[in-house]
Parts: sequence; structure tokens; C-alpha cells
Amino acid sequence: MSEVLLVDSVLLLLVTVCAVAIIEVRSLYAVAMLTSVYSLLMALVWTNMHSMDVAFTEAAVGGGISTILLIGTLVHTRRDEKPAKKRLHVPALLVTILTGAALIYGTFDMPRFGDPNATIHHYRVPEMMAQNVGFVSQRAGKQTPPEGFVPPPRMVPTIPKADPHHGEHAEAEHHEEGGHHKHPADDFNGHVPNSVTSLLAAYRGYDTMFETTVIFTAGISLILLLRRRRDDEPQAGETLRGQVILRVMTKMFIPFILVFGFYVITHGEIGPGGGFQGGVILATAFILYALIYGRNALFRIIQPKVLDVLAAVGVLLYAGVGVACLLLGGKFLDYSALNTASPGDGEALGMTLVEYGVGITVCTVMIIIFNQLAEQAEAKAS
Amino acid sequence: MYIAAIFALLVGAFFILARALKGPTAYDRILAMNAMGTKTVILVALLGFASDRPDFLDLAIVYALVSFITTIAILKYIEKGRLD
Repeated sequence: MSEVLLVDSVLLLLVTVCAVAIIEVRSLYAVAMLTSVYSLLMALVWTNMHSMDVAFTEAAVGGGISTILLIGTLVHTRRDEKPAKKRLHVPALLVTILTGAALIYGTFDMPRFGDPNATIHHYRVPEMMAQNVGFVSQRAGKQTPPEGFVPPPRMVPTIPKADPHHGEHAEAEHHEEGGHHKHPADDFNGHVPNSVTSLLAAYRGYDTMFETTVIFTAGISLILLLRRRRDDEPQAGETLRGQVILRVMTKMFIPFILVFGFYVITHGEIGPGGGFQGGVILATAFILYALIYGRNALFRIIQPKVLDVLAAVGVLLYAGVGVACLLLGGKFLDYSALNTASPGDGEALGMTLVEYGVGITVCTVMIIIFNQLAEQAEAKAS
Repeated sequence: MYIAAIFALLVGAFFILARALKGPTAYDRILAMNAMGTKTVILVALLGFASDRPDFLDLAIVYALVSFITTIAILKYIEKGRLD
């Protein structure tokens, strides 16, 4: 039994205990905190599986913002769950057991965890990894194609040289051959090092665009449902100005959180992370400011009206990049049209812009949700 | 070496989880949650070094920067009964 498997087993045991506790505990307060612990543990599971982007999302969303929003919801509801009337419902239990058994039976057909012969490691992925930019941290050893894979002649894996023009020439050469004007015949559309970002922003660009729209819609619905008072009215709020340590530490921490958020968004196509994670990290900085100095102080920096507009600007930026690609002669969201001389640069540029679009929308919608949850409590209190 | 440290931390995680489950007061749970956050930062860093992927440190930094804000939000809610 390898260490990875052993660590995984221990973590899954912890996760299971935590999940059962979340269902059983009646105090919603404790549930909010246990949910936070649960997501910390899940992030460890993802880290152990080396799925960094998922772990990043879990860290930024689960470890930070979702617990704050759960507490915000708790302000509106009771602190305790109503006791369940009937403890055991036999037909429901039977259906659950049967579904679980069917799901487990289904996994028998799946390849074993970490099986190098699984389809997913052979279909398309070797081509993608053999591209001469598809290496994390410029180290070939981490992403070499599996044994027995013979790369097509034009995709021989080489580490990019220090000469900045080398990659561009190689790109230009193999884009000229074949009938296709931008990509080689079976290109993965992935000229950026982080294959996950490449998948999300380019290969499944439409999907991510509509995900961003869903987040935007969530923000709009919360405004429609919960916004009661006019933006310009002064709003009373509790501040924690008396807490010297918190006040000083907040002022020291916020610049670092903001810089790190921008780093995660900008660096999304190279390292782990991207628009969603970076946007949430940015929003956390604003929420921290509102927690310590009160929401009035936050509104002096950024007005609710500006937030509402920015939420829409992010989606527009995403779709705008797509339209720009159309106007430049490519397909919708075909970023390589942005820079025909070196399509790889065009894709990196397009993905960075798109990530910023996602980041702006996610960040502002998270602040809006926090605002609306806190505001309603205030209206109730007065 | 890294593996031994990882398992030592995982054993500690059981005790933390026990405290988070048992309570009895909200402050016990807050402390457990906070300790689990700190433990996660170190565990992520250790998992990164154990598997020779130091870029995992990015993730540890996110936790270090973000997880304490949750604690502040909960404490503010306990003290003031509101979040704004």
C-alpha cells in the first residue's frame, strides 16, 4: 500500500466522520463550522490527488467565503434545526442503499485509480502533453508522455529554449502545413502550460462563459430578492474598530490578499488557479474590510452601484473577447485569431482577458451576496 | 521524513475533529476550525514537498491568507449578532 493511498484512506475516514456529523448535529452554528472543516479536508484530498485547480477552488471558496455566507444566512434563520419527527424512513433507506449499490456496481467497469492504461491517459492527452509548451515550470520530467507513446513528428516534445523567438517560429511552421489555417489537424487548442485552464477557457470556452453568466444571474436574483433600501441612505452597522490587533492586521493583510488574487487570475494559464479562484480571493479582501470597518466604509471605497455594473462588465468582457475573435476572422472564442503571427500568444492573451472577465464577475457577485445577506439583517434589526 | 510528518499531522487531525464534534461551546468549535485551517496549510506544503511539487505552496498561501477571515466573521456574529 503506497503512502498516497494510505494518506487518502485516512483523509477519507476523516471526511466521512465529518459528513455524518454535519447531518446529525442539530445546531446550525456547529454545522457551519463543520462544513468549513469538511472543505478543508476535501481540499487535502484533492491536493493528494494532485488536482491542483480543484484544490485551489475548494481552498478559496470552501475555506473562505462559503462559511462566511453560511453565517450570513444564519443571521436570518434560527440557530437550531427543528428536531426531525420520524427518525427512520424505511423505503427511503432502501432506495438509498439500492442507489448506492448500483453506483458502486458501476465503478467495477471503471479503470483502477491511477491505472496508466486508462483511456483518459491515452485519448488526446499525450498529444497535448507532447506540445512544446505543455510543461509545468519548464521541467519536462513532470509531464512526459507515457511509455510507448510515439509523438507525431511535428509534435516532438522539447523544452522551450531561452530564445523567445524559437517557439513562435515552431508554431508558425506547423500552422502553415495542412489545410487548417490556425491549428494543426488534431490540435488540443492548448498552447498554454496549464492544461486545466486550457480546457476550461479554450476547449470548453462556451461552458465557462455560461457558468460566468450563471454566477451573474445569482447576483442579480439576490439583488432582486433581498435589496430593500436605497443605496444612498446611510446605513448603520457594527464595526470592530475597538479591536486594535484586528484593525492593524487587516490593514497589513489586505494588500497581500489583493496582490495574490490578481496573481492567481493573471497567472491562471501558467500555474494553478484562474478567474474563479482569484475572484473569490479578491472578494475575501473586501469582505474582510467590511467585517472590521463596517459596510459603510466599504461603500465609501466602492459603491453598490459600481459593484452592480462591474458584475455585468465581467460577463461582457468574456463575451466581448469572443466577438473580437469573430471580427478578426476566427471563430467565437477562438483566441488564436487575436494574434495571427503567433497563435500561442493570442491564446494566452485571450485566456488572460477571459479570466479577468470571470474574476471581475465572481468578485463583485460575491461582495453583492455578502452585502445583501448583511443588509437584510440590518433592516430587520431596525 | 515528510511522510512521517504528514501522518503525525493526520493523527492530530483526529483529535481536532473530536473537539469540533464534541463542542461543547461554540468557542471550542471555533478553535478546532482554526487549528484545522493551520494544519491544512502545513499539510498542503508537506504533500507538495513529499511529491516533489513545490508549486503546491500557492495553495498553502491561499489558506494562510483566507482561512482566518472565516474565524473573524464567526466571532463577529457571536459578539454583535450581525455581519455588517
